[in-house]
Amino acid sequence: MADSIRQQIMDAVITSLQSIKKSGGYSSEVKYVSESYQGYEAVAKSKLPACFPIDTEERKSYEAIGEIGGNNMRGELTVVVTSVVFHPQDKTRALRTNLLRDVEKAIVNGATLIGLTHEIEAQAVTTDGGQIPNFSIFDQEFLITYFYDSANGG
Amino acid sequence: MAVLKPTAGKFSVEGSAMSHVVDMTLSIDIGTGDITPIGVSWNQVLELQKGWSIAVVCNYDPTSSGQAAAVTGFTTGDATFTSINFYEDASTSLAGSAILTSATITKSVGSPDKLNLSYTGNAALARS
Repeated sequence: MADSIRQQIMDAVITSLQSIKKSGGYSSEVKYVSESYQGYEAVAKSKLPACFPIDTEERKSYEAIGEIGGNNMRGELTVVVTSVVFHPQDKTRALRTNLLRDVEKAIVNGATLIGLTHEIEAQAVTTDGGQIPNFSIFDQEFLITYFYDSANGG
Repeated sequence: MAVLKPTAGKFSVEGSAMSHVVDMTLSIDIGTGDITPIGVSWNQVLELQKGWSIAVVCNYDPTSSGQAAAVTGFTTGDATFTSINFYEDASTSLAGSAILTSATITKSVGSPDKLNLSYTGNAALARS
């Protein structure tokens, strides 16, 4: 049986984040992508900037009368990307603002993601508020809407 | 419990089920003629003709043959359909001949594109 759509979405999110390279037209050079975030201190500085995506809550609802058409269910999945950047001197803000833009650009424009989903909406940004000198840690929240057949599950 | 639910049912045109239907409403009305004489307190009416109409809302999918037939019917083809079926469940429907009187396509941020169709019956509605 094929992977769930939720699984395929996360695969595509990871691929999109891994594509954030200057050679690909981005401002940042993401060095590490993982679904396991254990705190900024657990990440070697050589792996920064790093992105940690995770699929979180999801709302589901009926999207069509009856069971025809194959798209009678709607899933609204929230994906959160936690990113960590570091600069030993005065470039932390530039790294943060560049990566904020690049993550959004990569997720919203990812061709595989677009093919799997109905809509990808960048919804919120939360930062650490400058609490940690030279580091910046921030979350970006995306609402990903997709349709699926209840016979197959999402 | 025999209460019907939206996970069963469909809307079909000329025998083809329309896909991605999110809302459908069948309305039947009966015309009345006022025969109230002077000097009475309450209206008196005479039953006149019956009429019916169906409003359908779909998530717009141009590749859906049922939806495409409706749009084509309204733009370049015949807007009269001889077999319109409003299925309450898998097998029971209210059916009749109707004219497609409006088709509206809507784009709106935060929502799938919608196709709204309105049919007006031009003959008896039968339940079977």
